[in-house]
Amino acid sequence: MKEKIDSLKDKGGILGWLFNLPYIAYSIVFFLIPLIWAIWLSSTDWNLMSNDKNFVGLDNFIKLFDDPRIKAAFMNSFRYLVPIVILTFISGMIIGLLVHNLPNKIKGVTAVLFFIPYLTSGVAVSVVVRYFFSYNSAFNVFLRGKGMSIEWFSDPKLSFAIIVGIVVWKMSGYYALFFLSALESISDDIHDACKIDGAIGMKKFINVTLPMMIPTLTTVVVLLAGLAFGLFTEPYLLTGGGPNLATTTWQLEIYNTSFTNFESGYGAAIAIASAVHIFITIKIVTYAMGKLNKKYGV
Amino acid sequence: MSKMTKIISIITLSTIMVSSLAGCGSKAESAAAGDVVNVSFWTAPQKVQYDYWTTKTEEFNKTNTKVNGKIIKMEIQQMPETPSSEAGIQNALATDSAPAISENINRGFAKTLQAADAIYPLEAETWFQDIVKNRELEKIMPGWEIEGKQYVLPQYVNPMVLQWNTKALKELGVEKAPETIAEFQAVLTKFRANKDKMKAMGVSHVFYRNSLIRPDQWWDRSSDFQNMYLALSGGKPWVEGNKLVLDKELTKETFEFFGSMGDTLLTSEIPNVWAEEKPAVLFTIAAPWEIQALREGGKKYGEDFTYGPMIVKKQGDVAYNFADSKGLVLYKDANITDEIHKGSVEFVKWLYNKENSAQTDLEWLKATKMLPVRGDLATNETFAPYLKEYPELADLAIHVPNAIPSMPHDKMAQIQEALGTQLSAYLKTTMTSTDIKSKDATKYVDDAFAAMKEAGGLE
Repeated sequence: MKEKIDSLKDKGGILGWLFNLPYIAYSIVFFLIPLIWAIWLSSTDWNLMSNDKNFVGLDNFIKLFDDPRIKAAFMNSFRYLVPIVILTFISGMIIGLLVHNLPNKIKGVTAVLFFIPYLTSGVAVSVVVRYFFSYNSAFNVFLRGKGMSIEWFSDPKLSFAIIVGIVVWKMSGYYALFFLSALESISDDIHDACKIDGAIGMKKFINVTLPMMIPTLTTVVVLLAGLAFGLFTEPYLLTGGGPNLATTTWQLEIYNTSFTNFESGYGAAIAIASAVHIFITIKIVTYAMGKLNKKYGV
Repeated sequence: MSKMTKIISIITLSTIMVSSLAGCGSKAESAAAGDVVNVSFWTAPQKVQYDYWTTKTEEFNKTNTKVNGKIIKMEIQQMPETPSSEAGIQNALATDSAPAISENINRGFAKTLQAADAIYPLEAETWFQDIVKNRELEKIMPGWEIEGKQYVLPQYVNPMVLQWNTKALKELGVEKAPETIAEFQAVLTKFRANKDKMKAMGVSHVFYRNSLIRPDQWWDRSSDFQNMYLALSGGKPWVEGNKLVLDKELTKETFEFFGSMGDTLLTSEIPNVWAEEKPAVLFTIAAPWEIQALREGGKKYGEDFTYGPMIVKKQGDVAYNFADSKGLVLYKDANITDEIHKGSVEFVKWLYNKENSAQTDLEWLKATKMLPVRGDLATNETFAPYLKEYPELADLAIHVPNAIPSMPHDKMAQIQEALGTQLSAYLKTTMTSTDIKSKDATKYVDDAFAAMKEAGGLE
């Protein structure tokens, strides 16, 4: 025992392990055990209610390849990823630049104002948007007055665009804070040096500001990619994944399979597949951003 | 670091860990302890129902009814919606923390619970037979069968008939809600001929049903497709056992009924269509749970809206309709001892014994404005004064004997979604049509049958 304790001391001290113990215990209870349990569940046909739990091996994973809903969720995750990352990035950057150039007195207040959408509940926003696009809304009555009768959530493109719009609106102010923080961290000396060298406006932004922000841009892009894969509330409340699966997501399919269709084993398989998909995509995004960082970063 | 500091650190960390994991430990103390048997009852996640059951359980607890010499104590809580009430029950069963009894269970979900052996069969129990007799449910119970047995004690029913815009009908010169396909087509023709007149009074479409193009809202297929199919088919079932028994020709007729409305079918969402000052449509599927809200909003039954039967093929056909209906079930779970189960049975027996049953149902009706499932609802004097006060409920009560609950299949969601996908695809082809003659739905019906068989593993 003494030797063991001594060995622990050698590896960083018993106190270090003790201080880490709550986190290790937390990870085991809330991450490792559920993960192992989910892997086990995905190899059964159990619905969480029945006494019958049949081992089905990899059947649930094989089934994924023939399921049109899963194919749609897989493709939609990329369809969401591209506009959400690009539009949130651009609008976040614009907000960040606008706030950065404001007088110090109102900078904080303005940043908070842009941050408010992030704090609003996705459910509340979805309900408001639903009313906004409902048949008798002032907006639709106005459009019908102009001869345009639009069924917003029946059209795959429009319903998709509405969901993307909500996410971009909600998240832009949040990511603007990242950009603002990066902009503020660029020292005045560099700005002065740019002025002396004649680099101003877009020239300065592209050649000096952006390269200095690349570590932040990497973080933002990776976080946004994760966000795009985790969509649930908006499609759940607005479209249910339709029309024709145009807006469905991994999370929605996991929910429907596990809690509506009561195919919990299959739901666990979808969850694992989505986790692998997200992991690989994030790795690719991180790798690409790393390359960008190496090439253009300062 | 001193020895004392290390000891304090260890104690502090241990305390944090133990307290943070306290909730993950073994289950709470046994439900049956001492001289009391605690029986858990889950209500629907609605305040009005929770309040009603609070009163009933308090009344029951005062009776000091005993099982095995121990006093039964009913304990109620709302069903956790995690994320839906069904998933809440699923979660409870998975963690051996199911209630002994709950309300809010329809026949479809009861089939899922039955397949999981999570609920008790009731038909062989004497007390259940007594309740059937006390509430005159003999003719109604066959509609609740699951594989030849009874698992649900029906509690309330909303016959999903049609809700008509009385003022608009009168404007078209129609005094009575249409009852047959021919009468319905006559109304449709009149509407098309008087579009401007209708538009002037705010009525832009004939029928509003947003979910017709939302296959994901599979539960609504019971209220539109199944409802209409029941009326056209004379109450034929959708699924029997593991067999798809829908009649293809009648399914096609049902698809084409909705298709016949062409561009007068409104699917854009209107949050509260009947609460609008000028409802935008001629009719919708009824929403009986809105009765109180409509009254409070100044809407008068008979003047602003009227309930009419489902549309049948010809005069004299019985207008069967879908029963949005739920009831009580008694759960089997590791945490429910025989004593607790017996306690829950005693509670149900007390609710619906000969002396209490009518009063229990009347109080339910008053509290929720939803019709209790009783064979004598229209004839029992206990309900007469209240139904006189609420003529809309009296009109709905007429349709209760012809109301058929949802299909008993554990893949109900998948089957209904498969049909809804094809129905939605078909309607996309009809929704710009101005022709009263509907487009042929054969292809979509064939596809729906194939999809339903695959989705539900049906023969």
